[in-house]
Amino acid sequence: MRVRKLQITRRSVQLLVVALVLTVPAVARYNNYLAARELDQKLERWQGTLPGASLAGIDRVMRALPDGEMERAGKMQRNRTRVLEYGQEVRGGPWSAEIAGVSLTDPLAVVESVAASRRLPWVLLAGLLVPLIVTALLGRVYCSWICPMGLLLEMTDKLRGLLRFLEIRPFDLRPARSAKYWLLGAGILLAAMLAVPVLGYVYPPALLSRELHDLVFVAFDRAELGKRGLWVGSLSWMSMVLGAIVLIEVSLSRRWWCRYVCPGAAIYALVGWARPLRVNLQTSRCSDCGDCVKACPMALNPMGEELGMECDGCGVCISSCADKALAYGVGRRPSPALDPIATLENVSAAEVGQ
Amino acid sequence: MKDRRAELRSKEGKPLPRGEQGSSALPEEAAEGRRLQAGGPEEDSAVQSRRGFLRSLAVGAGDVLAGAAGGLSAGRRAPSKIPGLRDGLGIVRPPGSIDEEDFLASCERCTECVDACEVDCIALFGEEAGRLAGTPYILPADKACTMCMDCAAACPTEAMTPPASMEETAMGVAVIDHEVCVAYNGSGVCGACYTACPLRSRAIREDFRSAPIVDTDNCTGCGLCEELCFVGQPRAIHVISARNAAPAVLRAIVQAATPAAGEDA
Repeated sequence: MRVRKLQITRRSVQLLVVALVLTVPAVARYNNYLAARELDQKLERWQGTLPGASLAGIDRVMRALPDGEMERAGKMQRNRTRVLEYGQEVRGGPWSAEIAGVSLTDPLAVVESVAASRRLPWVLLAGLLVPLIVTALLGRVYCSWICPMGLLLEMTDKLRGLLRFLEIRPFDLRPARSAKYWLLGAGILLAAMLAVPVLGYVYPPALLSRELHDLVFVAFDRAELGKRGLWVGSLSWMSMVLGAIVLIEVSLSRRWWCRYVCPGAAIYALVGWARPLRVNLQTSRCSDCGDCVKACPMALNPMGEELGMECDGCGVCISSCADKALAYGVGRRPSPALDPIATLENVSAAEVGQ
Repeated sequence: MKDRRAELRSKEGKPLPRGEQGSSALPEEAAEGRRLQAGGPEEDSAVQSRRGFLRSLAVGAGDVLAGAAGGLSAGRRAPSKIPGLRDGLGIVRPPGSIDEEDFLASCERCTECVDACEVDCIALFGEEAGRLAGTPYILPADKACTMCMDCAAACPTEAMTPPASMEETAMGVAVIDHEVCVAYNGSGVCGACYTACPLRSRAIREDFRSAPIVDTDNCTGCGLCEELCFVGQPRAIHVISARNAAPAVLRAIVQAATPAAGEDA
């Protein structure tokens, strides 16, 4: 049994992001009830329901924070003022968020807003800080570590394996990667012409942000109306767009959205063009088995030329290499053709039959 | 995206009573019962008086309201299926919102203002609203704005910026329907809107009959009067949007809606 620690870490980060996306609107509602002095009433009445359970969980966490509780009338009670302050510290989703005072905005959101409105407020630039710095240093790691659509597509990728099991061979079309840069340009132009940030209506993190946010808010609204269960009617055409992306993913082209279409990926790739962190190959260890090439979700070749801006740093190649020939490293390594010593070592190793 | 008010309204577009034992609930049924008991106007004439009110609005409104309602012509009488558009009354945007065209270009359609709102009064337009889809609005009749300005502080693109003070907010102007308001049509004494107003005696005052009079220059359009109007459905006081409407135009609209002094309401 092989434990792929790197992939477990990455998967945990992805799932944490989804958990956060679902928790933030719940915290907003918790704050609403607390501000309206209805929280305890709701906690009591909604016992045994999902909204009730989430309010109870949030309450427990809030009380555990510094000064979350204070002693009153001989008991430890919720410190309303402080908890209200804590609750106001989280808002938004993958498209645009503020967590504990740190503003996080998707660069595509900034680009679209600026193109559509011709305004660039300082506060918008503040949201760019963390994403830009991280991407400039590490590359488009957003795509493989943060993006909830990336997680969804990795899940549905397995359906391709299911199709193969059913002896149906899915297509694996590979059009040009440059398409996404053209689409980004077109999206910026369209936003400028129509004065509407159009790409925000097709970009999956923005869609997922809205859909998941609505799902949570409507669940609470329904609880207030005395209705049980999620209202799947709260999902809209946005979910159909996501569904279409998944359908094409499964039947026509693996990770097509991320490789060839996504305008957000285009920006991240461009920003990460000169990044220091790379996945490097130690040619002396490489046995040319090609497992990494098969595994790479971005259809890159870790054995070949250095991995450029299209590499999203997912590390699947690293985790799938039986020879441990791949690793994260700082700086680019020269391509094998320029490294005659390593090539010679490789050749002699192969002759010896390793 | 779906407008979550669709789930919160009945098939006829009436708000459903929320908070099973009356938390943020509006005294819908109580008000209904009170009106019918007093032998007051039945459903039909209530609708009639509302139409009369809207007609008088249209006299002063014309293109301004058409622009404010995001494309709806002032001639449309059918209630909008889109809650935030409020058939001719216009969109009430959160406080501190910039001009509508700039707003539609700047608004990221994220959810930060919805999360920041302390009373959960902000909803986002659904896909049926076209260009407006995903942008925030307030429906004062359901839940009014308390002008805490948390939303404006939260907006990452400065499509909203916190006004310097409550008084400088310009979301809209409250207009009283003299045929529905119990103080004006002689049914009784109320004062709910006056009590609800955070700027009472400045934005709203009561005359000797305790009938409310709105000062259009000071009224911010927060809608607390509309939310808490005791008459129920339809309300006796409505906030009309200040979107794309100069103060002079709003004043004209209010004047057109107010019967001259001495006339029977």
